[in-house]
Amino acid sequence: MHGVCRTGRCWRAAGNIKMKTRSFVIAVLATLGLFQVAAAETTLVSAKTSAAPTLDGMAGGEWGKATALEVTVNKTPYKPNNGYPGMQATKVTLRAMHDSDNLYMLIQFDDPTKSIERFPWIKQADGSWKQKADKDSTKHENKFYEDKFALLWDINARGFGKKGCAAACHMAKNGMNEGVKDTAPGRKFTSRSGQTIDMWHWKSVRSWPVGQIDDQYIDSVKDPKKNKNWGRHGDTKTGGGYKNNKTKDGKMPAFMAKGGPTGDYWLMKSDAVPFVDTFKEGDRIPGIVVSTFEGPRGDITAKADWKDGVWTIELQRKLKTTGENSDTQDIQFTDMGKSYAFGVAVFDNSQINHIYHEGVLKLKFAN
Amino acid sequence: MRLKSLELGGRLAVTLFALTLLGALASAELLILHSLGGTMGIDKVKAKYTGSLLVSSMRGSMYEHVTEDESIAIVERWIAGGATEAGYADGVADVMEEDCTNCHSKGSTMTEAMPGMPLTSHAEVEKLTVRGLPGGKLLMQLHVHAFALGTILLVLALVFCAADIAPLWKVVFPVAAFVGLWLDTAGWVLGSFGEWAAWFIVTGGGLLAASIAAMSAVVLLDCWIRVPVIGRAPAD
Repeated sequence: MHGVCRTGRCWRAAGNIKMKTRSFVIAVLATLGLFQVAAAETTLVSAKTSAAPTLDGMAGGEWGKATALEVTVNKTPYKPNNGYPGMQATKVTLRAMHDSDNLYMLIQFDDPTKSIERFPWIKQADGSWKQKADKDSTKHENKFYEDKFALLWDINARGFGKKGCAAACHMAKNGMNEGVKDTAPGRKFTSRSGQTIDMWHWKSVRSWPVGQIDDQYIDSVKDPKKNKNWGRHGDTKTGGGYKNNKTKDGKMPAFMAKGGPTGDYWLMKSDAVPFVDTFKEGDRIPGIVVSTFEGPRGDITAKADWKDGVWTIELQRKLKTTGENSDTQDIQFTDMGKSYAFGVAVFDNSQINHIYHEGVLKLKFAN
Repeated sequence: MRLKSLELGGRLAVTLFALTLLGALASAELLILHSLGGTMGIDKVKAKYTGSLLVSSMRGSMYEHVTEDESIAIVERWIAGGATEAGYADGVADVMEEDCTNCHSKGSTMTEAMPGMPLTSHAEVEKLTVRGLPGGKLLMQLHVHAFALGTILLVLALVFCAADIAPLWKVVFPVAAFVGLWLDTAGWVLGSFGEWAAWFIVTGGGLLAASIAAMSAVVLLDCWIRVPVIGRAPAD
């Protein structure tokens, strides 16, 4: 072979030159293809359906009709200093469908740990009660907490249409935020008065048990004296919701389950009776009392499940809500030809540290 | 030595070398495209290499973080007006706060924090208003390109000269590649003197990329077949 090649007959004897040329052109193009950067898909298309999906926290059935949008979330606002072992990145898969009245969404994200141990009360050896917590230097919890997921929808916030959730993200500098001394690494608020963002906040302890997503919104409040959560607020409610299960002095639970410990990390309000301490060392009482939100804050119905390292959340919301303050607190899907800007974030057992994506996502409605 | 006279392993190695260079070239072009904000053009090159780093970044790789184009215009007007402290307080500080300082602050904890390039005061921002690449970045790019590309071009040129092609091309392409490298890097150095330096970068960069692509393609083909147009039959 070597001798043949040296005479120059190798390539002539090897057969069809055109075929070889074509093969190498393909090889070159294939190699170059490895370096191509595929533009990430950012638009979720809602499929029109006449059969509403059954909300059961499972992905089957009608959801086969909806095209998935995969979003990688891999940015975090800060790194808790208490040994937080939470996820630094995960993949969120979104699907959407709609009928003439409602938007339905199926949200799935990988999370190897199901976190629901939110601030439980534990009876101590000396008879006292202690609520478990391990807050980091920002005074936020990352150990005895819950998994959460957030969808933020642009109502009229400056910059959201281009930057997504970052339009409302304001990080502290040297412990100061907007001239206010603050231990939190950052706060959410819109930059100008009158601008709002709708926030759908699913919580594995405070909203999962009642089959809802906590319907919240973000406005331009940047004064903790006006609102301790700055720009973040719950939508208007007429009743229900969750409340910390503690006495006024904060030393012990205020309520317990009337039938005895349930094993859950939440106490349903309908099942709660005043706390009577007949418990022994190591017994556990939930740190939160939950009930169904009534009014606009309960606009979003949701069912969820965690299985094999994946959270699956199904939600349903009216395309147009009509409750009090709905125009400023809720995104209204009234123009089926329009794109609606949104962003997503995953909270892995963390009070405020979340995994987010850069840029903005869009929801479109198929006819 | 002729490429076709190499053992199969030698020709495969040369083929993979050429493919690697073509791939690296493609990725370099994509990187440049990204740094220019997704589109090529002399204006983009002028902005990146002969304008201020602050504005070129806002128009280029940082564009996705800029709320609106008017924010860039505010910064441009401020620089044109002398980048004064009063001008900074009157609008530019707000732009920095809205679009930049979440990451560009000394204590930033965000995933993409740039605490080494804070933009929270007039003094910090004013440093990035000087025309052309900043001194440290310029020196880093210069020495990396000189060492790395100089070595790669030498190896590629030597392999290229073993191809069965007309002798003229064995002079033209290697020389063109080195001239392109020098023009390109000269443009970076001269960028602080005027926008005209952008033409050095465009011309040099184009010449360099075209020469690398041509030499790699010739080497790739010559290992296996006769190179079209400029190829010649191998000597016995």
